[in-house]
Amino acid sequence: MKLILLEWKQMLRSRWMQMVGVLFTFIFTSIIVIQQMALPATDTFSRQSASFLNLLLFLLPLFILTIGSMGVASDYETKWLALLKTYPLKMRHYIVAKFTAIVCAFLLLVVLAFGVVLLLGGLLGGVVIPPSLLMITLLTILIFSAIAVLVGIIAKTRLYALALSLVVWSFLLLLISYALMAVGTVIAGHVLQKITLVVIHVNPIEWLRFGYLLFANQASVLGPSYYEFVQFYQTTTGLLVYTLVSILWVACPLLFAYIMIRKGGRSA
Amino acid sequence: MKRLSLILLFCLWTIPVYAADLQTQIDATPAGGTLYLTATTYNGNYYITKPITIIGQEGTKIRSMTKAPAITIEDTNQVTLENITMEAQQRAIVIKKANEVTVTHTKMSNVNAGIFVQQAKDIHIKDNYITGTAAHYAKKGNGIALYQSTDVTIQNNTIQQVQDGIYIENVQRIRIDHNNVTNSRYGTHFMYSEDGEVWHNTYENNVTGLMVMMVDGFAAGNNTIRRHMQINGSGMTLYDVKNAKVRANTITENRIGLALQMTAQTSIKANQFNMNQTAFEAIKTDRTTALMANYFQGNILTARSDAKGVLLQRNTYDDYHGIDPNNSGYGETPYYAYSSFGQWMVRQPAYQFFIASPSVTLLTALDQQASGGNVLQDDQPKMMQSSVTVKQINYTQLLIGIACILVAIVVWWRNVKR
Repeated sequence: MKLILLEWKQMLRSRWMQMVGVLFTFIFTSIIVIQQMALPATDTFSRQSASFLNLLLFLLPLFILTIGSMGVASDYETKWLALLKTYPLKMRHYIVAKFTAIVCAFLLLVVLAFGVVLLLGGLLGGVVIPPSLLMITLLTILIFSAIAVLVGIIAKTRLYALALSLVVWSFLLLLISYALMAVGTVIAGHVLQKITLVVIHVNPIEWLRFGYLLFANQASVLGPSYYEFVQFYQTTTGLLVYTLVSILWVACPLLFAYIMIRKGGRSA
Repeated sequence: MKRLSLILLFCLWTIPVYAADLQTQIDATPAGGTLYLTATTYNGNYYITKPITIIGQEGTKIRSMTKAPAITIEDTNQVTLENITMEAQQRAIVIKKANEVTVTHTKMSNVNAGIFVQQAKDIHIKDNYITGTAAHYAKKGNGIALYQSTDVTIQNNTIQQVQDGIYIENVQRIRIDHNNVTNSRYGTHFMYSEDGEVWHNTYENNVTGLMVMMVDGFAAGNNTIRRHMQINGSGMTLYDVKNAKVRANTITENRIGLALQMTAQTSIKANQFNMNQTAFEAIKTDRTTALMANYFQGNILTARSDAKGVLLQRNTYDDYHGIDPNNSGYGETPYYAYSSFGQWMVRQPAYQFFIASPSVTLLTALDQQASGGNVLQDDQPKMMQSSVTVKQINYTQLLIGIACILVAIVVWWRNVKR
């Protein structure tokens, strides 16, 4: 617990984190308030909700990956981790503490951003924030905090962590989709559909996006090709599978991080 | 014995009037006469084969106990049915080879199909209330179905939970106005008909609001078409349609607002396309089909088409970023509704998974910069008039917002302080 508090304080004291906090809040608020003023409120999947979602999927993973991984890598660079190892501290506690600190720091940032949105939205007559968006925000923080810890442990230096985070972010957010779209021009539709189904499960960005559409009851936006897939995930079994895969997306990176930190113990 | 007589008398009092009674009354009414029905339930199937007006009152109910229609109007003219509630296992009313028939203020609940009209002329169906069953669309009939008929008016009806709210096949000169069709497969479904007019109707939560197929001559205006979000849904679909006019409709929150397939010589003017996933889609539609002076706002994708495209003229687009230096009200540079992704989606439906995803958003932004000379280009886009509605302050949200900010700042500050 003390370690979590210590890590959490370090995160909040980071200048980078503070700047990102201001930047995220500013951009998030601007776009939501502008969209709210320009478009009528709706509970369907509109350009407004697509903007909210894309903003979250663009910014939040980027900030979590860079700050989170650099925080971990910094512990290697400054020999803080080496020092910790001289204490009777288990490495799994270190990973859990790091993960919890990142999650809590970004939750605080999101609370601040949503607070400003609600404040300005309230002044403008009310802003609609779908509950499924809040749920996906939380899940985004959990999944990418876990990946950030893994990236930091792989990188070991801050510069490398920054570079690797950017690579992971662009790969998950853009490159996989573009590659799939390009492949789709030369393969049959049913093959593309099946590869897309695999990609949804192995790319956390697509998984979160699919989750938002599913829980907002707007999965029809995906079109007839994914009818049976959507039907499955709307059943109780489907929801259980969604929960299980989401848990795996948090647990697996942390597990890999633990294995790696133990393997590279002496180099720390 | 006295008690038994009383029970028998009570049973007789509550047993509905039988078929023969109403049929006898109908037969006894002279041609051109009016039959007033009491607040009674008539069980049976009744036939009208002469000019007659039948007027019910609150509590008048006709119930078909078999699969035959409750009322059949055949080989006659000048028949009016008014203010009757009907129940039927299949069709409630059948009108065949009849002229000048009016059905008004009837109520049909839990019917498989409401009104069936075939080879009829001068038919007026107005102010009726038709509710189907909760079964799948494939297992139920249409609210109002018309075949091979002419000069039909369908007005101010409320129809829900049926297969097609209003189904029209081989009908000439039909006017459909001020109807409300919800929770059905198609709100109104035209097939092989001519000179149909659809005005001031509301279509909501159907699979498709207005489905027009293989029609020559058609007009739709001032309709409100919203929330057709099912997997194959669209607000309005025109398939193999010629000489159609679509005017001043409000098409909101649909999967596809307007789907044009093999449509020619059609004018789509002054419609509002708001908050649709795709505002319009054009497949095998040529440039004799024009979208003019429409207003596009808040749609995820404005347009998608195959290589043929459609003609776009003087529409207003909320994602147009051009300027109007000479204050003409029109932008100086063309608007490109082009989206590579939109075209891919038309060719390969599996691409739809990526609609509005971060990667596609970026791609579409690049398209807007790079496009030129494509098939979805509006050379004279109308500038959008900025209109911001100031609403009342939402104090609950305001207070929650302040609380969130204070909590975040205080927690942050306490931890940052060394």
